[in-house]
Amino acid sequence: MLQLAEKSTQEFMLSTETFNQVNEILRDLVTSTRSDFALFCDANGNPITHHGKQHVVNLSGLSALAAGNFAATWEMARVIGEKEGFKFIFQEGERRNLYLCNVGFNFLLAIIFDKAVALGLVRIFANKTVENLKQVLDKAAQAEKKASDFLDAEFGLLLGKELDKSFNL
Amino acid sequence: MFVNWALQEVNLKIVYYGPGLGGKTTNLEYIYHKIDPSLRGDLITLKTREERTLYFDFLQLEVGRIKGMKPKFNLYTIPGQVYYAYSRKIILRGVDGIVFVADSQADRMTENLDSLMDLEQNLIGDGHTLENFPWILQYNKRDLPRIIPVSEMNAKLNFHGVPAIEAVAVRGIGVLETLKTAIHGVVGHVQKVI
Repeated sequence: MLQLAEKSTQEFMLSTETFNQVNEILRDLVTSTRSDFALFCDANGNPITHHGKQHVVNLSGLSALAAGNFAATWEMARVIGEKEGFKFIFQEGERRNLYLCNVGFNFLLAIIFDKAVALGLVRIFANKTVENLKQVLDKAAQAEKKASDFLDAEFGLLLGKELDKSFNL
Repeated sequence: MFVNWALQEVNLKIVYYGPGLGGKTTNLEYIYHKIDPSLRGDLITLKTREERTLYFDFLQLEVGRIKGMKPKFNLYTIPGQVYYAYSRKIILRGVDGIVFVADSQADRMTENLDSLMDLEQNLIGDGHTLENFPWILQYNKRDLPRIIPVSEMNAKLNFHGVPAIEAVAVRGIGVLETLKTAIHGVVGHVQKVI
């Protein structure tokens, strides 16, 4: 199930061990580049983990937008004949910049950094980070549990009750 | 489905599909306003200047912990207009379940059918079919004059006998029932395939 870096799968299981390794890599990236924030999410728009200052509150929104943006940009590359896609997306703001790149086929890395930080520096460390993340994901330990450990009939029943409560049905 | 064991999160993606101006965004807007803010994120909408969905709308919902896990439902809409075909393909990536919002008005059946065929083609491209994938129908705009009877809607659109819910999304009628049915369909399907 953990063919994370290159294959498109419908179902991902991320182990705690892999999660912790990814966290460490993000921490190194943020420290080395003096970036504000780094987000690791999947290409379907699910946030996985992040490191840095907490001014980004809507992580699920940022992940969904990053995934949509990256997919559209990938297709733009294809339309103009760049079969391997673009290497990264860079957006320049008044105070902060955004750097977005893919990690293999299934994951994305977003880095938010201050205008004072050089893009070249972020680019060098982002490339290194992508390689480190790919290595971790390629060697990822099997997740400690399977979805079938919790997704059973009882889960469906309890979920129904929770939804009724949340929806006031 | 994405399971993050470290955070004990289960992420499921549900996409609202259907023809343009059928009420997909209206469904999400109602859910956004109705649900306790502590259980949902911000509603993100990418609209054109004419207030039409350009790329997608996005809303994340949570419910309390279940068997130690935190289920999160990521709801997306697609742009219904024919010319946004590629956006639809992108948004369908990794989808766990579909709500097809059909417009009940008599003069919109062709658009419903075109959109449903477009959905099937996109699912086939991802290795699924409407037969083996969890999807449900919502017959929207049931309050308008000149609507098609449910029996006829069923005959034309519901050839796989999936759950079909009547709705008036602008008034919230049937919106939460639709979502709950879709979530149950997704969870039931995941239970079958894992």
